[in-house]
Amino acid sequence: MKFNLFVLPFTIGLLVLFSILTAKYIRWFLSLSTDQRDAVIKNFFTLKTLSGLREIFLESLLHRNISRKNRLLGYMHMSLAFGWFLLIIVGHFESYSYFKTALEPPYIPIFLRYFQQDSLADPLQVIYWFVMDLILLFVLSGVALAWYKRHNRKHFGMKKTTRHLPADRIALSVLWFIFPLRLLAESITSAIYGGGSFLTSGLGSLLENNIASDLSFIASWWAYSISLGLFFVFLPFSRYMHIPTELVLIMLRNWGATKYTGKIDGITQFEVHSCSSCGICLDSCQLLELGHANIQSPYLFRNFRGNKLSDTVVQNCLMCGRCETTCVVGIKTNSVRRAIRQNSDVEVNHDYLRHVDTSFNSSPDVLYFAGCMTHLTPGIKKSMQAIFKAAKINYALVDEDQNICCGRPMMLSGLAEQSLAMVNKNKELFENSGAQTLVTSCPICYKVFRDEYNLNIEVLHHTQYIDRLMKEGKLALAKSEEQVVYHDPCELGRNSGVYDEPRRVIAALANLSESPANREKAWCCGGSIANAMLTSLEKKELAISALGKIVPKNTMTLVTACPLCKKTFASTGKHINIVDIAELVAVNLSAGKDKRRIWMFEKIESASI
Amino acid sequence: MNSFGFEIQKDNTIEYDKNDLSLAAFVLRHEPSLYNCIQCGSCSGTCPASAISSYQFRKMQLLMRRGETKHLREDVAHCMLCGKCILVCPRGVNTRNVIRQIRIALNMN
Repeated sequence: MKFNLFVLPFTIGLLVLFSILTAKYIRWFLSLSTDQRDAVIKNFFTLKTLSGLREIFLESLLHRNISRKNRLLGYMHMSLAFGWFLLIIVGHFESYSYFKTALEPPYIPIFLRYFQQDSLADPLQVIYWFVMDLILLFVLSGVALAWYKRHNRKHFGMKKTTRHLPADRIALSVLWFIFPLRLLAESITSAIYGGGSFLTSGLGSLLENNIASDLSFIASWWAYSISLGLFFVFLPFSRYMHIPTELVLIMLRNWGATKYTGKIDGITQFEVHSCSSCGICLDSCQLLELGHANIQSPYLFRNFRGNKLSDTVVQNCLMCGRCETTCVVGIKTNSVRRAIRQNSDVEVNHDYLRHVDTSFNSSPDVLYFAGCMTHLTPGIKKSMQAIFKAAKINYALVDEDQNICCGRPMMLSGLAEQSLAMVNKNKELFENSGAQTLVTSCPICYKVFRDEYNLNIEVLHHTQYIDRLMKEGKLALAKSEEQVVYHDPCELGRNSGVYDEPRRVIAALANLSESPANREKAWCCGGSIANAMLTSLEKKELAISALGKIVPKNTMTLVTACPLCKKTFASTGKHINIVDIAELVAVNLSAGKDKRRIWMFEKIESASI
Repeated sequence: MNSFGFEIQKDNTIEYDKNDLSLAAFVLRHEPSLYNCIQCGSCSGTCPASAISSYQFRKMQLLMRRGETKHLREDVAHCMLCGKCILVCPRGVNTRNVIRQIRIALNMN
């Protein structure tokens, strides 16, 4: 039996790690919803499993997504993950070539140079030594970069990085020690017993005269084993939990089991524990501009893991989704935050909704739901009515006198269950109308009608509807030479994926220029209803900052598609014309014959309010 | 007994000295922008819940600040959190957070 006491720290660490992981994963799997579990069972023996494994190889080992952000950062992660993986795999092959058995204890391939000190007259061994030295060098280059990154993160494309907790720091330091200690142990072995290749034998010959001795030989193997064991023990309690958990998350995602259920479930746990606190998302968070530096997704997840959630870290977020689009692991940060915010204890009483009349006198083809925010930007509502009229559509304005909120503001505030009375009342209203299409001007309403109402009616945002009317030739419009820039509202763009329709409409009416941060990279106006904590001044500061970044120098008009964005940007008092797409179209319609001059400044203003 | 359509109004005196103002103090401490309120009622004017119920943000916060918290719990339950009131407030009061803080103060959160 090949054994030495020094393998114990490693072996015990590995056992502890596996028992903790098994216990946690079983618990989280059991808390999956029935739908999620069925999806796993249904898709387990399909090609989806293979595509999951492929994604694991590309993301967890090669770190393709990180490389897309920054090559150096990608290389650093790849050398550590893929290098370590290769060390283990090639180590197993090497061990098999010596001992001709695959049933060795797990520590044999890890400490192979200790258990196979002598040189065999075998050219294969020389090749293995060379390959293992090469892989070790590969990993060490990653460790060196990680060390360098601590002090020069700008070279890795990151302005900010996460502040780590003590357990994370210990695990990080131990991780940095593992590979240099392996190099030391193998080099000393090489100095005493010979063998090794360019790296270990080279360093060995340097150490031969002064450091290499029986004592330093065994001490270095002990140190290597202890560092491994410590890392394994700290792993489940530190951010390195992401290493095993991300693998499971990728598989679950490929099996289609990650659908949001509205509460904290197994998927939430897997997502939260897949966050490596790498901090790549931090630079995308606009709240950092205001100095709110402890509420970003990595901190939320970390506090959740440690059961130390504070009101601020949970609530102070715009839920704009910018971090979600930058996350290299693909964690659904908004869904996780919504699940964490969910609070069933808050009493809500919406019994008064029974007074709302949901009957219809007419039988419209199209329903127009302006939405709360649109009622505060009447220009949008009037414009839409003018457009319906011009296109001769049989429509009905649903929320003329009495409007019920769509429910999304409450859902985003953690009161999804409590918003059901509103949801049901609105559904009743829509379904009683007999209409086939529901058009709304508010992206917040659009998102929730489309994704959470389960309506039998087609739901369109007014940009999509106008685009359709234009395609059908129902609107007589002409293009002007005005220069405009489009701002993607968070709820319409990033959160609903509607990017092209608004652009098509604008491009047909004016010269559309794109801001550098557009589409999924678009800035939030700051007015988000998901954040109840920001003061009015803070929101204004965000809006001013966003405007400055969105609007190019030669442009005087910003076109948006969200009443809340319009209202928020307008509050900045900047001399920029802020219009909604509907207003742009309506003014063009009303410009009569002289459409080329159309919707200059004053006209927009007079149409607005 | 016959109902004549008249009733004796309850005493409407507000006893500042006796009322417990701790809840108001808590809410104001956590959302100081409420100090800016000029009782204009724009919030209640635009509120979709006010249009179809007896709920009024202006009235609710005024009573709360006077320590009249008897109906606060049922009042605050009416809010739909739509956020219109924030947009119309000429004084920049963060009304949604006032609602949230009242709920926290009442141990509803």
